[in-house]
Amino acid sequence: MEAIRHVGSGTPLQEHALRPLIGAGKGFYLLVTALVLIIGLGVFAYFTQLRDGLYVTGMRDRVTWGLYIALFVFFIGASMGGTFISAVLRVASVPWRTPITRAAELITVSALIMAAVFILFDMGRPDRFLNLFLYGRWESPLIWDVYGLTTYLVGSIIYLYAALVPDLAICRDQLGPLVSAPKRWFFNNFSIGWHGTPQQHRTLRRVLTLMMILIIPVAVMMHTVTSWIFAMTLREPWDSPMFGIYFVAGAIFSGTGIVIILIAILRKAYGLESYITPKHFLYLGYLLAAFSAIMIFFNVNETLVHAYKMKGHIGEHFISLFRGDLAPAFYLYLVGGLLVPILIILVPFTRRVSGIIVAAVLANIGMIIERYLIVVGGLHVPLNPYEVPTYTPSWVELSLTAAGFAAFALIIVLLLKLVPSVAVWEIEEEEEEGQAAEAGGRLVARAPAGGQS
Amino acid sequence: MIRTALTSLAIGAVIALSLVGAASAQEKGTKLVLSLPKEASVGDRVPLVATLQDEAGNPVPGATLSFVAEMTFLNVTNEVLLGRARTDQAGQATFSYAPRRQGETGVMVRFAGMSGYAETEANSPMDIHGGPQQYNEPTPFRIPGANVWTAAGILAVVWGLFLFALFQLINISRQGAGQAAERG
Repeated sequence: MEAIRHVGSGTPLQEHALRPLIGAGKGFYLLVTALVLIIGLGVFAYFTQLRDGLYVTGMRDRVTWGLYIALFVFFIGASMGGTFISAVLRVASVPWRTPITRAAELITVSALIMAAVFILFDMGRPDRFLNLFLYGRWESPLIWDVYGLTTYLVGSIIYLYAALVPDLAICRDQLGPLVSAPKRWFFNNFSIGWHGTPQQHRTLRRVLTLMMILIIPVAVMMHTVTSWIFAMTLREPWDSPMFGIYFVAGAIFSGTGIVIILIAILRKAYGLESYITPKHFLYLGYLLAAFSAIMIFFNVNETLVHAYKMKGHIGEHFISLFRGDLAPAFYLYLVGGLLVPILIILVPFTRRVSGIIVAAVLANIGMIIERYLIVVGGLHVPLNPYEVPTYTPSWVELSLTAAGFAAFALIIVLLLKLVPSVAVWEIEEEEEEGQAAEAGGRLVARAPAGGQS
Repeated sequence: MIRTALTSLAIGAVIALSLVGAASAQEKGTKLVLSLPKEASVGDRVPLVATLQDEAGNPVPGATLSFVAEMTFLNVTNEVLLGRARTDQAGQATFSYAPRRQGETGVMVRFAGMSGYAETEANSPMDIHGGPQQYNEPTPFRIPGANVWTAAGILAVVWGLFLFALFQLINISRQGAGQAAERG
């Protein structure tokens, strides 16, 4: 803390936000070690899968998609929370979003990277990854998803970076001699000569305005196209025109939950209680509750419409969901993942920071289960007259799942050692505007009636 | 250092291309002789027979031939693999095909090459007569512009806007450099 004050005129906000970039404590190293160990287990599992083939998973000829695709869809959904908080609330000029946009943007980029990684896990021959681009069939929703994911990832990176530029300049100016040479190089070069001139501000505003508007339809497109991978097949449980909006709503739901979890961790770890306040949790909690209600509506609508017609083999799907092997997971998702979060947020006694965090965790567990039910449940309905297949994830899939989540956390942890955890420049700008508005109001109040001096 | 690396890459590429060229030069040319029926009816199984020979007219046994037809979906025409068959000692491969839609269709047989033999392909048209259709007829109505090229166009616009954003970021850097020069 003293060191920062020696370098420049760091404000209290800068001290809190920049301090983690200078060094790392025991906690950081313990956390990174734990995450790397879990990833190491995943590497071993992946090596086993590469050597022996996808046979080491629980997937077979009838249930051809499993945990990997479910988690791919989950991580695509998780990225939406970041886009929603950062872009949609920015477009709406919602003032309370400023301290949490950075966390949201980091989640978007990390989640999209992990979504792509889970696709690689699902490919038995990852060396053929380039074939998706070289020989991909334009008529296939899978290829639409490949191009959509690439577009969304690139757009999210541009958006994250543009909003980072002034903060990297603050790091360059404040932290120069206090950080290692590679970090110094990073701050010096990636701040791209930002000096906060009016011209630079105008240009940056132009970029941020363009990206915050553009990233919203790109995100909605991405989630809709992901849903089309399922909805455009001939499987009856997936045969629903509602899948697009269902996936978008689920994405905002789970994404908001992940943002709540991350800002809770940042708030505690970096002492950001003055900037990430209970108000943020409350508003995000209301958002979570609203989208939980929307998800319940979509589930009821889809179930009723299918059940009313009972077309084809949909009855077998319902037996599987309501009474069969998928029933425990289905009820856990409905009650634990959708109903309980709403109750927690609506009941005043539980509507506090800790309660909202619990609601967010339950929401995300519920959404992982929901993605699993969509993928595996849909494949349970046989297309030919054979018995209903079963699927149980193997140790390889479970290890890679754990490794995937560990890698997601590790990306964010490492990025937070490179960039401030809150958008310092935006918060300071807002504070200055607030002070200027207040001062302007006091001047007006001091002027005597009639305009006499 | 960069120059050295580029030179090494160029030399490596030349060596690799030479090796590939040398390997190709040792391959014998091949040709496909097709015995495909000129006509068929929807639903009838017809044998598609193809004979693979080298340039001297000798049969090429043990080669995998791909039987491919062109299909159109979402206004995009592309190849659909009907099936594969291996050539016997007489260099002949037979694939049993049951056409599902009437009209003129082109069937192509392709040999992708194997050690010592170069790739080749041949095609032959087939006129499929009407019969009970084996699938639901596609709707005769097409929404104008609803095809993958529209999607590709939208994607191109989005990427164009990304490029514009990147150029604006480069502008910020230039503006900063300009200001630093003024101060200096």
